[in-house]
Amino acid sequence: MPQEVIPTTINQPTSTVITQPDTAETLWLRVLSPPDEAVVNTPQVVIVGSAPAGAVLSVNDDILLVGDDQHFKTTISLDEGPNLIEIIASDNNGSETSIILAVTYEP
Amino acid sequence: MKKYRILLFLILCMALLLATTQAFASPASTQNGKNTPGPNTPGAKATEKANDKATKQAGKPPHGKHENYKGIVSAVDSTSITLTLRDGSSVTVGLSADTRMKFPGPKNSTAGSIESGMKAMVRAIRDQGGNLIARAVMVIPGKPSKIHRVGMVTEYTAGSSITIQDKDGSTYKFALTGETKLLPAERVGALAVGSRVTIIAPRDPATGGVIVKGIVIHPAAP
Repeated sequence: MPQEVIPTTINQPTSTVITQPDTAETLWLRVLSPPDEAVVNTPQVVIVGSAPAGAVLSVNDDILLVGDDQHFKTTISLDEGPNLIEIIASDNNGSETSIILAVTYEP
Repeated sequence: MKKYRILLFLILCMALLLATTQAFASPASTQNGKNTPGPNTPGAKATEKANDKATKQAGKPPHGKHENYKGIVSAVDSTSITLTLRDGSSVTVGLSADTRMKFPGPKNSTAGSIESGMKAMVRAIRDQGGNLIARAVMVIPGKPSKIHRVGMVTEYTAGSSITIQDKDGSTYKFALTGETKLLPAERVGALAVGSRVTIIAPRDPATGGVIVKGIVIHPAAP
């Protein structure tokens, strides 16, 4: 799966964040960008990742449905300084998994 | 007498040779007294970069640059916060009246709301004395502030409230507002008692309330 390069990221991704489902179901969530503790110089950051097709995703206040290609991409506005980005995925069975990123915006 | 003149001539030749050799061997030192390249040469720029790098590696970034630290709070009071970082080291950062506190829950939090054991991120800057002063402290929750609840709609009043029953038989009632998102657009009209939905709502009603952020309507079972 190709990794997208986000030009607003100052420090380079060190690893992909992957979660395991909180149940035995086949729910998973990957965030390709930005990495946790990223420092960016723009007031928005693009969240790129993947999850099973049909999963419901919330990224802070945005709500998405993952398509058949299993990819998702959304843009989140940032305040100056440290920001929390909460990414939650759930499936039709009620399983849930999440990733919390801390991203700092430095103008 | 003749031997003395020859010896004197040889000494003068050797002195002249020595002076010439010194002059060619160190042209810079004879010109400006410093054996460094000029300020606009690539060598000078490389030296400058190396010096900057060495300064950063010494842990003393230039005054005025922000420093970010993420770790577990090991101590906190009204004047400072100490984090244990991932590598096991500790950093203590001063708190001031200008320090901005960010919590996932209550908006009117102060340093007193932070407890040891919490995960936090601190954005700091060094003062003139080299001491770290926090510009912002953000508490990172162990769990997201929102939760996804999946279930069957048992009661629904558009724009007012919705109640669902999950697979364990537990029921949850939520408030709806005009800002509640409904999706996908093609199934909004199908939302009714008996629909299978995912509700995105605050995890802790005590701090986040019970207002639904969004409802995803799932396809009807075949």
